[in-house]
Amino acid sequence: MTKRKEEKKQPILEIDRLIHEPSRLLILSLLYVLENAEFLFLLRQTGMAQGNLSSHLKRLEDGGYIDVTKEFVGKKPRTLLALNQSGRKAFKQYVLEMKKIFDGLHAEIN
Amino acid sequence: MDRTFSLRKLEKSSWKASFRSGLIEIAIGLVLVVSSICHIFDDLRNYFMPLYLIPVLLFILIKKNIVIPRMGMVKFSKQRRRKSKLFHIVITAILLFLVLLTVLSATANLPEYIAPKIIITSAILLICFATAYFLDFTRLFLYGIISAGAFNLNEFLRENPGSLPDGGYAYLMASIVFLITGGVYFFRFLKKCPIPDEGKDYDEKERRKKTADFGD
Repeated sequence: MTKRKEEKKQPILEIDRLIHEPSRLLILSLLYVLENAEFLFLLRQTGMAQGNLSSHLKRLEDGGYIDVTKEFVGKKPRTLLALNQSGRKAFKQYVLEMKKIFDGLHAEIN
Repeated sequence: MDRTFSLRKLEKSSWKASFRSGLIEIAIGLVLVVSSICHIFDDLRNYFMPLYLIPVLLFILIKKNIVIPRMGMVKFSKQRRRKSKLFHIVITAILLFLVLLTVLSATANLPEYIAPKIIITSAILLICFATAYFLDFTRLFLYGIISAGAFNLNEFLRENPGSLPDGGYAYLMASIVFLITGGVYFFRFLKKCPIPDEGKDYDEKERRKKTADFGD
């Protein structure tokens, strides 16, 4: 990309789209305030469908934002999910960027 | 309706999820039922005392086998765990203070019928209020007042026998309130949180599944 094109790029286009999707934003917000949570707990708290939640978690895992730990409690498998350092950093960055964008918009429409 | 999105609210809501099963109400209700039995059959009180273990055992068993498998495990933030630790310290301090007060009331020259009443009422209120405050379990403020009220009504009826039947029934009335409330919460919880199907988890099979693109 040329320097001129880079200068023209709007900041709103540079936001992290992996986080920006509402369901993923909710999942990341929940994981941000928890140390870790079982898949089932996230399912209950978000109210999302199982497949839907799995898909979003997979995307977040692929994006390197969450860590997935598998363990067995007795004979039952348990999947624990936690936001890693990179996920925490990205979430904070996303919030700051969105604040800047909306502060500007809010000042102009009022 | 408040439509603001806050991390603090989200964390609080996750924390409070564990109180939505109604298990605490059922346990308090059962403790009051046992208290009622002990008072109604006053002569056999010592034989009924071990019954106090039933609510505790039921609480542990139901939580382990019914509530957690339906709700899922979660580990809260360090801040929340610090608050829980502080709660344990405060509860221990309250209990020690109450023990000290009991010893003092036995040795000091206090009116016999007043001192234990004040100590037990304080114990019920302090423990319930501290728990409600530190664990963000607001319903417990009301439960503390109901339990302390039941205890005092019970004592009043014991001291003033006459028109109403003796003691125990005050506990029984309070226990009915708790058991009905707990039962409603519990059945609502069972309905809202069914046991998930075997193998349906965020597992390898699910991860390998081709997923649709959500929103982007």
